[in-house]
Amino acid sequence: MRIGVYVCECGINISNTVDVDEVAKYAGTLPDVHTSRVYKYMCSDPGQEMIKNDIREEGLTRVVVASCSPRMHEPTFRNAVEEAGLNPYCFEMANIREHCSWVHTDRETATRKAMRIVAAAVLKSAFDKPLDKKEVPVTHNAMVIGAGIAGIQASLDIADSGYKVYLVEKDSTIGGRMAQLDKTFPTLDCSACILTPKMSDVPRHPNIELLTYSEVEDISGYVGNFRVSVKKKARYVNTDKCTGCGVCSNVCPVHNVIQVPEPVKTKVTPEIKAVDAIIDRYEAKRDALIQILQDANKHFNYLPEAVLRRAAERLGIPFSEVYGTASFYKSFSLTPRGKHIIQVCMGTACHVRGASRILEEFERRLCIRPGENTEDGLFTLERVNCLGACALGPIIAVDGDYHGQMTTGKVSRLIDTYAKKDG
Amino acid sequence: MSSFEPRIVAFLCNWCSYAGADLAGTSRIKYPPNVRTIRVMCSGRINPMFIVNALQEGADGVLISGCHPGDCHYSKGNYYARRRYQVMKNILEYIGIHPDRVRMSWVSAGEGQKFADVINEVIEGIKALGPAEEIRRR
Repeated sequence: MRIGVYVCECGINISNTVDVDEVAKYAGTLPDVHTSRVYKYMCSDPGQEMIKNDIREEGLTRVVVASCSPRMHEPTFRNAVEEAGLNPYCFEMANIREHCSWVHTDRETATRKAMRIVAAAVLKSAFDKPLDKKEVPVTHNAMVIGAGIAGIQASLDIADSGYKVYLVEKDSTIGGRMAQLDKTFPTLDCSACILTPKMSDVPRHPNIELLTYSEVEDISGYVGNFRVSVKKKARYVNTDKCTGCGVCSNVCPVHNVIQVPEPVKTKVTPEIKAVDAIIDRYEAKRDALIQILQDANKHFNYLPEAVLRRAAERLGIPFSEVYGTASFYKSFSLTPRGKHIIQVCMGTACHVRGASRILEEFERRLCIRPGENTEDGLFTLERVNCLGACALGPIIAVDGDYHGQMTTGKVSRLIDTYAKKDG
Repeated sequence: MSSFEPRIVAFLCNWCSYAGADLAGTSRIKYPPNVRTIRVMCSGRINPMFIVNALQEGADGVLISGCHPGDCHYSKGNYYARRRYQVMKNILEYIGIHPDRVRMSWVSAGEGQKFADVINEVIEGIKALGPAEEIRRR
């Protein structure tokens, strides 16, 4: 066994943090190492030439290059040793750049680590055996699972590039969710106008084999050679003989099977129970929407989305309308709010009397900005445009109780009073 | 105790974690030089005996790192690694090695910073445990 070790400086990339001469000297003391050299750029032509010459003239049987990541230059050096007549798999790479010189700063410890990395590569190279390359056929086919719009488009793209595609869909028809939509967001384009031409392209395409009403049961193998088993569900129709005349449906014992989107069932949570109670109080009358939302807002301190959806469902009003109502009025909140709501009036009269200082003091004491809640969920700070009591300004309201002629000094006392109420 | 510098062996899979470690290098992210890397083609290649041998031959801790679940180059090698790791932990405890000496992580080829973070965490963890003298060959 004659091992050659080549330590690369990589310009200054390695030699700045690793003492390459020390590393090469140390490598020379390792068992079976015959040659150990340092060079500025091992991957350059002269660097590769140096390795090739040594293989030819010194009769090296293993080569170790200590330089960058094997993911970078392993193929380069494998080629080089092969050109010099050595099996390319009798080459080892020690990564002293990405894994050493670039991630460490201390020259002494980095050099010691580089030595250990080189030693490991040298010892490993002694175990290397010449290997032969083998070509394995790859199946030039693709499988796409799910024939919604994404699956359809992927299949068409692959098929257009000249590869065979198996498109598997668990339903009896392709198109997926998009086939159930009227318009697409955000351009409000006609959904079917985009989808249906593609749906009809799929079965017509010579490179696509469509497997509808089928499900993938198992996938094994690896990249290039997957094995997939697909279960075709029973159709009770011979697809080869079927012309689509529809006569069979006249005598079919199963009638009126209309596909509708699955209804979304609302899970009954405590939240839903509470809102149901409120709705019942108003006998689920559509006209009572605002009262219901008011009561719900009071109960939850805000209007959770689930509550709005439940109200829409129970009252038979489109969700968009319920949302529109809830977002229109300032007294409804769509985000959680604190137990106590502090409203600081920023009207002209209050402003002149120093409302901004009061607001600032609240922000400082509560550590929140207007519109936010305190971490303990006790307070929400809001700025309002006028509380209608300008003579008492600067004025604030906590939970609807007015506190006039505020001063910064009163702020902390007020917060304490309300915090104590709960505590 | 403060001068204790643990020796850590990291088994990194070629496709994700090794590339992640490379990215930490190309991004010049710094981490301590306590780790020796062993490149394996897949984390599923790691025989539990590799880990025991590493600890016997002088390592204080072992890191196994592979592709994130679902991202394995060989589709399920990392799942095999994960199962072995779970069983391995019990066995380590049984033979008297603190199970925290062996750690597993998922680092993708794009997570250079995460690799450095994992290395730092492992080193901190092993420092707290002290040298692995339980089964070291002398």
